[in-house]
Amino acid sequence: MMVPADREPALQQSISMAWRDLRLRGGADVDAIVSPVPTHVGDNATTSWWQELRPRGGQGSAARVERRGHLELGDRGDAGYDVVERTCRMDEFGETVRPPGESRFSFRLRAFILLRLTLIVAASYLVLAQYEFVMVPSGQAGIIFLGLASNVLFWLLPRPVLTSPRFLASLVVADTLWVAILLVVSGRFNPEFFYLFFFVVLLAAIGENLVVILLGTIVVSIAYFLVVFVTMGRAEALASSTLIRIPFLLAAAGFYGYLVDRIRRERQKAAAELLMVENLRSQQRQLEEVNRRLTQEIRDRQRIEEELKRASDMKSVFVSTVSHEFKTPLTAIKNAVDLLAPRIEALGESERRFLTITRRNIDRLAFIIGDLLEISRIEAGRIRCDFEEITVESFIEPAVSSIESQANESGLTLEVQIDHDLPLVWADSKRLEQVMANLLSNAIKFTPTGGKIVVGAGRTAAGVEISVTDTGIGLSPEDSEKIFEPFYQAGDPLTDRSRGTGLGLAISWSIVAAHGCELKVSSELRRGSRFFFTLGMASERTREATHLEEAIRRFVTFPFFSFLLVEQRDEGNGRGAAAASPSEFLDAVCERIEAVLPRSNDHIIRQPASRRVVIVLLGTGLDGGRIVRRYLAEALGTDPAVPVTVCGPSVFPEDGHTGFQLIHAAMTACADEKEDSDGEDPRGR
Amino acid sequence: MAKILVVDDEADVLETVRYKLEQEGYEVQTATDGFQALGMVRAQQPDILVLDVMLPGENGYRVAHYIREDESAGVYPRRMPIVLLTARDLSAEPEREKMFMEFSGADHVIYKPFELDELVSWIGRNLSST
Repeated sequence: MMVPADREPALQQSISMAWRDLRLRGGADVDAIVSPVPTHVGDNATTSWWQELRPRGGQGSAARVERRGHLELGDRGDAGYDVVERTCRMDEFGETVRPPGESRFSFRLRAFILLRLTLIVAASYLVLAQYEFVMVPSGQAGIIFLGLASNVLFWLLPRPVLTSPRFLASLVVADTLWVAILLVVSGRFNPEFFYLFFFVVLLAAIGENLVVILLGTIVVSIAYFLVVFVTMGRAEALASSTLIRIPFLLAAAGFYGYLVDRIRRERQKAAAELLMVENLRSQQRQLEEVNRRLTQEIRDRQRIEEELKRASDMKSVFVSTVSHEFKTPLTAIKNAVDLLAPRIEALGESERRFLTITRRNIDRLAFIIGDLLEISRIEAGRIRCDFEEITVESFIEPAVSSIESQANESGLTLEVQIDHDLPLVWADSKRLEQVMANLLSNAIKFTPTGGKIVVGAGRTAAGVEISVTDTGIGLSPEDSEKIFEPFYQAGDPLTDRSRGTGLGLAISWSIVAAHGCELKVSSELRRGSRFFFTLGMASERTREATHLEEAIRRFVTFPFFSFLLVEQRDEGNGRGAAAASPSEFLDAVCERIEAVLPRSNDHIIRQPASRRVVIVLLGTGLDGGRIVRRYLAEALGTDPAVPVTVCGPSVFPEDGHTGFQLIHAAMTACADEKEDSDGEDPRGR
Repeated sequence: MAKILVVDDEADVLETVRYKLEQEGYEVQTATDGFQALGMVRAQQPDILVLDVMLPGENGYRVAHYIREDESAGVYPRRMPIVLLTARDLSAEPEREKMFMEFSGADHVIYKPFELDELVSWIGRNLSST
C-alpha cells in the first residue's frame, strides 16, 4: 500500500491505522475504506481529495463509503486491497462535484468563452468586409489572428487564473481596447457595435463580482465615449443619441451586477454553512469513534488487570501450596536423618561426612522453602512488623555475629562502624536482623577473597542510616534497577552459578518498606555495592506514622475489602501525639500513603472500580471522603468514582482489636449501604 | 507408661515420630485420618495427642476442637495436652495463628520440618505437669 509522502501525516496515520485494523481482523473484509477528506476552500472553489481502500480487482463497489469522518469497515471482499486516490472540485456554486477527467470548465465559463469568440468573429467580419476579404493589411490580420488564438489558449490556462475576477476584468478591458483600435484603424467604426461589449460585460457578470462588473462597464463606457468623439467629431458626438445610451447601459449593468453579486454571496454562505455542518458532523463521528475506542480500551485494560491479579493471586497460592507440599517429605527426610544421628559414632569417617552434607542440605532446602513462603506472604500483603523502640545494635550485632565465621572462611574483612550516641529507632528488630543477614550474606557471596565488607550506622537529617558496603563485583545499572524484584538474579542465570532463590532482596525491600523507608543500592561494576536505608527515630510522631502505615498497608493489600483507618488522636483525651491541624494531618496521611505503597501491590490499588473503600475515623474534623479521593487521585492519576463510606467514632472499639474485628466493624457500619449494585459480596472470597 | 496418640496421614513422618517416641519409652498409637483419630481418642483416651493439621476427613483444628468440646461436656476425666504439627507456618502472621489456636484449643503448635527432640521435650514437659 502506498500513501503519497506529501500528504498530511495525520491522514497517513489514519490510513495506516485502518490497515492495521484490517490486518488485526484477519479474515474480516472491507468494501472500501475511505480516509477522512481534507478539504481546501479557495477563493471561489473547493477542492477535496480522499483515498479509498478497495478490494483488489475492483470488484466491490464502495457502497459503504463514508464521505467524511472515520473509516468505516464493511464486511466483504478478500485480503488484498488497493488504494484508490480520489479528488473532486466544487466550483464556486458549491454544488457541482466533478470527478477528475471530466471537463475543466463550468457551464458559465464555457458560455463566456463562446461569446467572446462571437465578439472576435463579429469584429473580424467587419474588418474583413471593409477590405472585401482580400487586401487585408497584415497588421490587422495579425490582431484578428491573435484574438482568435487567445480564445483557444484559454484551454491551457490553469483554472484558478481563468476564474479569477482580476483576470476577467483585465481581459474585458484589453478586449475593449484592441477591438476599438482595430475598428477605428480599419475605418469601420460603428457606435452600434459597442452594444456587443455590453453583452460581454454582462457575461463577465456571471463572474458574479460587483466590482468586476462595474469596472468593466465603466471602462467600456469611457472607451465608447472616446471612440465616438474621435470618429464623429465633438459637435456631432454631443448631438448624437448614442451618448444617452451610455448612462442607461451603465446603470442597467450595475444593477444586474449587484443582483448576481448578492445571489453569489448568499450561495457561498449557504455552501460554507453546509460545509461547516458537514465538518461538525464528521468531527462528531470522529469523537464517537474515539470514545468507542477509549471505552473498549478501558474495558480491555480492566480485563487484563483482573487477569493479572488473578494470575498473581494464583501464583501466590501456588507458591504457598507447593512449599507446603515440599515440607511434608522434607519432614520425613529430616526426621529419618535425625534418627541416624545418635549412631554417628558407629559410622566411618566418610559416612559421617555424608550425613553432615545431607543434614546441611536439608537445612538449606528448608531455608529456601521458607523464603518462598515469605515472598508469597509479602505479595499477598500479609507481612507484619512488631515495632518497638530499639537500638540499631540490637539487630546489627546478631546478624554480624551469625555471619562472621562465614566471612572469615571466605577470606573477607568484616567491619562494623556504628556511630556513638545514635538515637533509638522505631523498628522490628527481628525483621531488620533478617534484612541485615540477607544483605551481609549477599555481600559475602559477591565479594572475592581479600575484599572488605563494612556495616555502617550513622546519623542523618532524616534519621539513622544503615548501610552494608562491599568491595565486590558490583551491579550493572540495569541490574541495580531490577535487583529488588522477586526472583531476579543479577547476571545471566545460566552461566553464573545459582546463588539462591533470588528472593532475599525482594523480601528485604518489603521489610524495609514496611518500616516506611526504602532500601536502595548504589553500585559500580567491579568496584562494589552499597545497600542502605534510613530508619526513622523513635519519636512519638514516627510511632503514630507506623501505626498509620500499618493501617494503610492493610487497606491497600486486603484482598476483598478495602478500608483505611485514619485516626487523629486528640490532645484532650490524654493520649498525646499529633498536634497538627486536621489539614496538616491530612497532608501527612497522604504523604505516608505514597511512601508506604509496596511496589508489588500496584496491581491491587489500580483496580478500584468495583471496590468499596471504607474509612473509619476516630478523630473529628477530618473529611474521610477527601482523604480517599486525594489518595486515589494521586495513586491513579484520576478522580475515580469509588464508593466511600465513612464510619464515625462510635463503631470503633478500643485498642487491642484485630484486623478481622476491624473489618467486621467496618462492614457492620456500612451494612445500610449494602444494596449497592456491584454485586460483590465482600465475604465471598 | 504414658500413652501417646500420633495422628498423621504421611506414613513416613508417622513412622519416624513413632520410632523416636518409642525409643523415649512411650506407648505409641497411630491414626491416619481425622475420624479415626477421634474414634481412638474416645476408645483409648491417650495421655497426650500429637496431631497433624492437614488430615483427610476432619482436619486437625477441628479434631482438637471436638475433643475440647467433649472435655467441657465432661466426657473425659481430664484435659488432654494437644500439640499440632503443621507445614502451614503461620508464625509470621500472629493474628491468624492466634485465631486458629483459639479455635482448636490446642496447647502448642510445631511447624514442619521440625526437630524430633523439640517434640520429645514438649511431651516430657506436658506429661510431667499433668
